[in-house]
Amino acid sequence: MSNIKTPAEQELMRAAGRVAARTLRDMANEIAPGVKTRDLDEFAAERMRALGGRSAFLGYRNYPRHTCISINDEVVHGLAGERAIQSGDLVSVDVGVTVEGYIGDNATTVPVGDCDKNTQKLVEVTEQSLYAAISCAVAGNRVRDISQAVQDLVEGNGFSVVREFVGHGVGRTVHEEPQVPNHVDTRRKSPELVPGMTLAIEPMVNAGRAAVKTLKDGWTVVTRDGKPSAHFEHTVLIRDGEPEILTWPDGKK
Amino acid sequence: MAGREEISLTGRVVAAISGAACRVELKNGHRMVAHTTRKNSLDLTRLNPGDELILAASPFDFSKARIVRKKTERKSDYEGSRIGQETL
Repeated sequence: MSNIKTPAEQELMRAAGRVAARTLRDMANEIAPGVKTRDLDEFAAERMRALGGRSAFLGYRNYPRHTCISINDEVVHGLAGERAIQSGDLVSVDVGVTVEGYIGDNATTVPVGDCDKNTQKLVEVTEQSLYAAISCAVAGNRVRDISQAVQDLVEGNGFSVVREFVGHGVGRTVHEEPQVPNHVDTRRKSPELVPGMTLAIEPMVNAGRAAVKTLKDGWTVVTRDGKPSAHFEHTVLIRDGEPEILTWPDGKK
Repeated sequence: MAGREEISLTGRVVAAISGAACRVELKNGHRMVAHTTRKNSLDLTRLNPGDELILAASPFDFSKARIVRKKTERKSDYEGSRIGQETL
C-alpha cells in the first residue's frame, strides 16, 4: 500500500476531511464554561455518526475515547472525563474521522472566556505556524521545510516546540509515512514531498519549555513545567503547486 | 578478449563448504559452488542458508561462480527519518 494517493483516493480523502472539519467546528462551538469533557466527546461521536463517519481514534492502539480534549497544560491526547471546562481554560480538541475507509484528521485550540495575554498569543502563534507550515508543503520540498517553518515562527516568538510528538502521513490508517516533526533535526534524513501525499501537519506549542511527560493513564501528555500548550492541525494534500487543505468545513481551501 | 565474458546470476545459499566457499542454488534449481575472492573478502560466516547472493560465472563453466556481493533488501525511503511518536 502506497502513501501516495491516486486521484480517486484523493476524492475520498476530501470527503473524510470535510466530515472531520465539520465535526471539529461543531465541537469547538460547544465548548463553554461548565461543559463536561465527556459530554463534549459524546457530542462529537454523535456528529461524526450523523455526517456518515466514525472516530478514527477510538480503539486505535487501544485509545479509549472518540476525540482528544486537552486542557491547559495538557498538550495532546487528553482523555474526556468528568472534568468541567472553566472560564480561562485553554481547550485543544483533536478529531480524526474515518469515512469509507479514509481518514481526515484535524485539531484546534479554543481559549474559553478571558485568557491571559500570553495564552492568547500562544494560540495565535500556533495557528500562524500551522499555516506557515502548510505554505511550505509543496512537492519538491522536504518534510524538513515544513518543520523549519514551524520552529522558526514559534521560537521567534519565545515559545517552544514539542519534540517527542510529531505529525504524520494519514490515509487509510491514522498513521502513515512519513513522520512530520515540528522541529528540525539535521542528523536525520528528511523525505521529499511527493504529489499525492496526505499529511497531518500539527504544531504542538508550549508557552514554557519544550519538555513533556505522559501521565499514568498512558495517553495524556502534559508539559513538565505546567504551563499551557496549544495544538492546531490540518490534513493537507501535497500537490505540485499550492497545497490543498482537506480538513476545511465547506469545500476547498 | 575471449574468456572475459561473465554471466551475472542470483543464487541462494544452501550450505557452507569452507570459510571461503559455499554451495548455492539458482532459481532454476542448478547448484554450484560459489567462492569469495581475495579482493572481495566477504565474511561467509555471516551468511545463512537462504541468503541471496549476486554471482558472476563464466559461460563455459557453470559448476562454480564468484561471489560479487550479498543481495541486500532495498531500504525504505523513510528509514532514518523517524524521530518521535506520532500524535493521534
